[in-house]
This record gives sequence, structure tokens and C-alpha cells, in this order.
Amino acid sequence: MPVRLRVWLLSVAVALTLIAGPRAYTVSITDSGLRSGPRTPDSAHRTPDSALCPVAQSSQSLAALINQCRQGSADAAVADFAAWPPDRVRPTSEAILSSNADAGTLAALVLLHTAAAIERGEFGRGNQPPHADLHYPAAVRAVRLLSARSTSDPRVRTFCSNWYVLASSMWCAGRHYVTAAQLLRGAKGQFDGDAEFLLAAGTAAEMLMGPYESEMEAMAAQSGSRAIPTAGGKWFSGGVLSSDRTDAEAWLRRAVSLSPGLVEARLRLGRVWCLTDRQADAIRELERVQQEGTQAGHPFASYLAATFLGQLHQHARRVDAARAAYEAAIAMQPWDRAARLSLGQMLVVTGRPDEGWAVVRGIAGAPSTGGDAWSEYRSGQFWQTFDRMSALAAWVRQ
Amino acid sequence: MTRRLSLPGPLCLAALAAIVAVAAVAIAQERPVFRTGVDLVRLDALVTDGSRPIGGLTAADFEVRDQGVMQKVQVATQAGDVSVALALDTSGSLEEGRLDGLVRAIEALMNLLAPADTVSLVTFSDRLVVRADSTRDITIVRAALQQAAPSGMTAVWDGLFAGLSLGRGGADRSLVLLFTDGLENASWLSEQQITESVKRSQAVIYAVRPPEPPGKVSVGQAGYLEPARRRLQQVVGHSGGSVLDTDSDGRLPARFVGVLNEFRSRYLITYEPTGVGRDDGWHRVEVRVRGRQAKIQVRPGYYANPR
Repeated sequence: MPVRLRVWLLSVAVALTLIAGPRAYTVSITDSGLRSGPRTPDSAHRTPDSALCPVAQSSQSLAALINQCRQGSADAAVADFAAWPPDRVRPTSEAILSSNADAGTLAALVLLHTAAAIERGEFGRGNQPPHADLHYPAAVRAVRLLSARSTSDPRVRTFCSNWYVLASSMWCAGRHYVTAAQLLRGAKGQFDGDAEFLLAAGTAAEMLMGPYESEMEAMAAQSGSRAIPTAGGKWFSGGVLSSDRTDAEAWLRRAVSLSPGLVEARLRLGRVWCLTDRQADAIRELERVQQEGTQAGHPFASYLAATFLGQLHQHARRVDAARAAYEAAIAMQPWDRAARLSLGQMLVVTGRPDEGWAVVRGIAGAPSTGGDAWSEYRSGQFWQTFDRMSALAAWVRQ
Repeated sequence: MTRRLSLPGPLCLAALAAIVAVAAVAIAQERPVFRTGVDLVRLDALVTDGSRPIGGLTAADFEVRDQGVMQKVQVATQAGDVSVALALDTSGSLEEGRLDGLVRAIEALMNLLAPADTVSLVTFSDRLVVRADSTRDITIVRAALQQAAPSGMTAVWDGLFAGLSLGRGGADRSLVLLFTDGLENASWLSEQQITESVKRSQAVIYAVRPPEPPGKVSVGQAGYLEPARRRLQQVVGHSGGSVLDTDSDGRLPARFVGVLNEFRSRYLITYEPTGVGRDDGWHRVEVRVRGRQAKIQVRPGYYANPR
């Protein structure tokens, strides 16, 4: 049984995920860590007083906490470490990084810093002061050192790749795509043969490529602002940033070639082609995902593939085909907003307003909890957070 | 198997026509009837002296130009049945005890409704939840609000679109009351899509912005509050509505009541377009009041080609 770290192993999240599937419920960033249910990145960037005021801390050394993380109560170690003041964290962490620590020690340090960063809401706050730059940069330094010292060890490479995908997903969940992209670009050379790493890198680039409705909006996105709107309904191929488009396409294509069964990579590649008006390629890829997604255990992918197809047909003024695609998506996930809003809006602006409004009203009766496909899509691979954290923890405990 | 009552064709049509005619007369005597569609243009106009509504105006007081061509108008001052769609941002706007203030505001608003008026409620964060559809029962609305835990990001345009859809419940006039800080960051629909939809809706939209408690706005958000307000005003302006700020939670009930009262004070101007195309896209409309200084808030035009 994997170690139970308090910040990510939450029985409710596990139960809901097991019952309803990995996409039905999410594990969310909160000020105090992760929790199940609706995600709250908005509140995550607010810093509660409790997160900034150090609570009672033990006198244990970091080496002792690392040992506790590997062999004792990891929960307690993380809680202790997260309460340390910055002027104690930095020098003790640096001391271990400067020593000739073994891979297991470094991995445990990565895990402790990452869990503490989550605990303190650093990912939700992004690069905002005052304490967002404490544990996360230390985790990055530790993982880079671990990776550099153990280039030939495939187990270490797997651990590091896993960490990069996890960290970038945390940033994507808070809509900090620039930070996610920077992190992954820096490590891409080491993981060019890792399909899941490439999917994460392609995701960050895809979310940054747009489309944008104005140059100012694009500049705001590139500067790392999470307040910029990123509407799914935008269709503006002229507003797609070419450098990110090139990266997104290249990395997602490579991910698909390395792992043809990676449905999410196919879905995102299809959307990249949608947004760049490569209609034939997009239709081929999205129709395949629509067919295979549900069978592969990713109904959200089938739903979004049908919705993106609808957008593509609508953009090409094939209204009947668009309607059929949207209706197929609605049939798959009746309560999800994207396809309903698209179909409703299309009908309203093409002269069938009563029909259009009725489609949207059909969302009435939806359960007040549960996932939202577009929202989860924008969160990258955040839906894998629990599994990835568990895998990192299990590795450290070995 | 279902048995059907059948009448000879001509007799059936004549009977139906008679029934419709009688019913139409009866309804017309009870309240104003507002037709919709491009045959009849409807303009919900707020006329003020700059701060307070001006009452008592008649059709003769209005000057309406459609694509620059003067039109002969009818004016109704009775609101008729009102459908109020509440679209509430629950992405965090309900934090800090705001829920109680919001319930009081909605109760105050519902207390002013006429017997045939209805309220619908949709909440939005990065999810849309229709919590009440065409009800007059405050207990339903209150219970629905209690379930609306603040979470997630802010899909303003999606919430507004859902609000527009709920305001179509067969009422004579539709009011959408959008409660949000306007910091859009999670919608599926784009600003352009919602703008085009608002232009095609008959509803009037009022956006009420909550007060931001000091220190609650992050550094990243602060620079976006005013641009967000401007964007909101642009979208809402296409309905003839406006954006209203609130300086404290305690003033929310007064703000909501004020919105309903202002909505009721609006004039419903209708006309059959003459001298202009009936199927030629966007029509710009200008409304003036003859012989006096007045500020008029009205949708800037309409689409004459719904198909």
C-alpha cells in the first residue's frame, strides 16, 4: 500500500474517483493543499493568514524529516516541513543539495518540497509574493540535480519525468501556462522519448497558442497573467501564436507517434489542427478520438472531440454537420456546458433563437457537482495528480 | 392506440380561427400584447433626467429612427408579465458571508414581483447550474442558493448566456440580473459570441458588481477590474442595460430592488419598420425625446435577418 501523505491522499477523492471514473471528480488545489470536488483555483491564489504565519514547528532536522518521509509518517514530515519559516527552509535545503546525497535522499527532498509547496498553495498563487518562491524552486533544483546525477538510471528518469508532468499540471490547473511551459521546455531535452512528458509540454504550448482576440490579450497571456480569458468558443486562426503552435504541434505529434493509444494527445493535436484550419487532419484525428475515447476509458475525450468537430464544421458554415456533432456530444454528456452552449449559440445567431435558448435551458437538472470537460481540459493533466503523487511517494518509500 | 376527435377540414379551421380570435381579444383587454420578430421591433428604453426616470411620456414624445428613417411608434408604460433571470457568479463572490446578503437581496426583489412574474436562477463558476426555473417560490430560490458553494473560476459569458435562455419563459418582458465582478477567465463562449447573442435577445441586462473587500483582490487581478468593467458594459450595453457597482454587501437588497424598479419604469417602444429593409442585417436605431433634455438608454439596434 502506498504511503498516505495527507495533502494528496484524501479518501473522499479516491472513493469518488474510483466510483465515478477519473474524470468525474477532481482533486483540487486549495490554500491548504489538495481536496476533492470542484476545483478552486480562484481561492487558491489568496493567501490565508494561517499559511503565512508559521505554526509550531519541531526541532527535527531536514535530514530527519527526509528519513521520516522515507520510512515513517510522511504526513507528519510534510506538515512539519510546510510550517518551517523561509529562513530555515532555504539554508537547510541548500545544504543537502550541496552534499553528495544519494538518489533516494534527493527524491525524498523533491517530494517534501513539492508536498510543502502544495500545502502552502504555492502553485495556486503562481509567482506572486510573498512566499510563492519557497518550496517550488527548491523542488526544481532538487529534481534537476537528481536527474543530472542519475542519467543512466531508468527508474530515476521515470521519477523525474513523473514529477515534471505533475508540477506542470499543478501550474496548468491554476492557469499558469507560462510557468508550466517554461518548466517543461527546460527539461525537454532529457525526455524527448517520453510520450507523457511530451503530452504535458504540448498541452502547455497548446493552451498558450490561443486563440486570442487581440494582440493585447496575447501579450497578457505571454506575460503569465491568469486573468486573461481563454474562451473555448473563440475561433480566430489569425490570433494563434505561431511559436507555441509550432511547439504544440511538434510535441503532440511526437507523443502520438511514440504512444498511438495516448488519446489525450490525439485530442489536443486535433484541436491544434482545428485552430490552424487544417480541417482534413483535424477531422480525421477528432473522429478517431470521438470513436475511441470512450472505449479507452476517456469519455471526456470523446465528448470534447465531438464538440471540437462541431466548432470546426460551424466555422466552415456546415451548420447541419455542426449540429449533428454538437448533438452527439450532448448525448454523451448531457449536463456538460460546452456543446450545449455552442449549439444554442449557433441556433440563436442563425435565426432559430427559440430552439437555441431551449437547448441551453436543457442544462437544467444537471447535478450541482461533478466535472466540466472544458474546465478539465484547460487544467492539462491535473486529473492525474493523485496517481502521480502516489507514484512519487511509492518510489521514495522503496 | 389514441383516438382522435376529427372534424371536417374547413369546419375545423373556422372553429380554430374563432377560438383564437376570441382568445386574442380577451388577452388584449387584459394586458398589452407584445409581438416579437422582425415584423415588430421592440425597444426597451430607459428615459431619465440624468439621474431619475422621467414618467408620463407618450408615443408622441418619442422620435425613433431606424437606419435614419423616422418610424411611427407605439409606447407602452405597463411592464406586463416580467421574467427575471438571476445569473449569479459563485466563483468566490459568495464568500465572506455574501450569501446571506444575496438571499436578502433576492427576497427583497421577489417581494416586489407581480403575481404573474417569475424568477429563474442560474449560478456559474467554471460550471453552469440552473437552480430554479420560472418560480415565484422564494423557498426554492433560498434553498438553491444555500447549495451554491463558492468555488472555481469565472465563466461570466457562459452564465450570462444561460441567463438569457432562462429569460425566455413566455413573459412579456425579460430582465437578466447578472451578479459578478466581471473577471472573466473560464467561459466556453467568447466575448464576440455573447455579444452577438445579446444583440439577438429581447432581454435587458443589468450587471451588479459586488464590493471587493480590501485585500481580497490579488495583485494579478487588480489591473483587470476596470477593463473587466468596461468589457461588461460593452456587452450589457447591447441590451440597453447597464453595469452598477455596489459599495457594500448591506446595500445589495436596495441595489436589486432599484434594478427592478428601474426596469419597470422603462418604456416599451414598438414599431413596424417602414421605409427600411426587412432582411438586410443589422439596423441602427436612434431614440430621442422631443422637446426636452433626456438621457435615453436603449439597445443600439437589432438584426433584421434572423435567418
